[in-house]
Amino acid sequence: MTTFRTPAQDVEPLAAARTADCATTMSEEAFRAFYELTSHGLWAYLLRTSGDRRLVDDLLQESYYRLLRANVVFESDDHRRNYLYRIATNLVHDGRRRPWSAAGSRVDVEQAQASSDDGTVEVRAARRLDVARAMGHLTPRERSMLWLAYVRGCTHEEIAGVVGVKVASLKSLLFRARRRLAGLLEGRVS
Amino acid sequence: MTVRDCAREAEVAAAARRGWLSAQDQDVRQHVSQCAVCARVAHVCEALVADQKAVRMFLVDNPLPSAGQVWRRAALRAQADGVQAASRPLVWAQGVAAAVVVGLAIAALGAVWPALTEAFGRVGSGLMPPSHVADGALRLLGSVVPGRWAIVVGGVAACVAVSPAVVYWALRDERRP
Repeated sequence: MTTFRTPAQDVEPLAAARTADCATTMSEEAFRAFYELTSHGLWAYLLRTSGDRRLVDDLLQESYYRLLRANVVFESDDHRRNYLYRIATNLVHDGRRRPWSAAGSRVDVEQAQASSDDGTVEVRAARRLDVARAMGHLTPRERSMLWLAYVRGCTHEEIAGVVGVKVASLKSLLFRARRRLAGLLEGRVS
Repeated sequence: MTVRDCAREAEVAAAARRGWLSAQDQDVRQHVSQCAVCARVAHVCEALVADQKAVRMFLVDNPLPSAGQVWRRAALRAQADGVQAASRPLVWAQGVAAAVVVGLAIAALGAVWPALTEAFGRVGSGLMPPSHVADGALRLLGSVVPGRWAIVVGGVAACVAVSPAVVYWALRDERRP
């Protein structure tokens, strides 16, 4: 077990309490390795599930902070990663009253496409726009389930754990979410 | 009746994520052409994976904060949270003390109120409608609880009445976990 260390640590008067409170089960080296492995995927997940580009950096920081502070013994990196996604999902769902704002994420992805030299840029950018817009019509839970199932390739048990539903219900929930997204992508649902 | 699932869904999703690269994936693709459920799985999966690639491409030009930055920010935040957690009992004690002081002040005021109203009466001022209310309240209390106990009970009641406001004041900066 190690603790966070900062230059200001000597100045504060409540050192004992702080040391006890800052304890984490992850060393800085292990955290760096884990962050390199997970941060890009988590950022993409947060972007698509929250729908707000301006929030994603804060959500990412908060997710890792809560992971570091979690009093949980992780059996493996997969377990740790699933727990991280669970934290991120809860953060996004907690803020679900905020209006969906696909505009920010849409512009970002469009810019990324424009920087490519690929001849089919416009077609691909249009498709990305469709995905962003279609995801905007889904509930946060549906977005999470679909992303976890089809981008991350999680099992039903893992998805149920992250999203907080029963495994038995997941199959039908995932079916409905998939049907809705497919319909939106095909322009069948307004 | 709508067919909701297919035993090869996971296989199809995995192949779509890979981009249908391996020879085995071609067999899966053949299945997709004959299965409506798997066709939808493949469609959704391809769209989402392509979208993820676009987002990752965006991150090439817009890099994320480094692991060190995230670690340092987390350390500072943990430090601030630790200090706040350690000082929380002090804030509570301050709140309780403030409630007691306010309660005792109100009780003391209640105790001397008859003398004050008598003094005001002697001066001849007729502008004391609140005193009638306070007198009435104390008389009512006195009829229920005899003697000096009325003052004590009044003080406790005042503490109880003021406590929520004081606790709110003490905890107004507390953040949600």
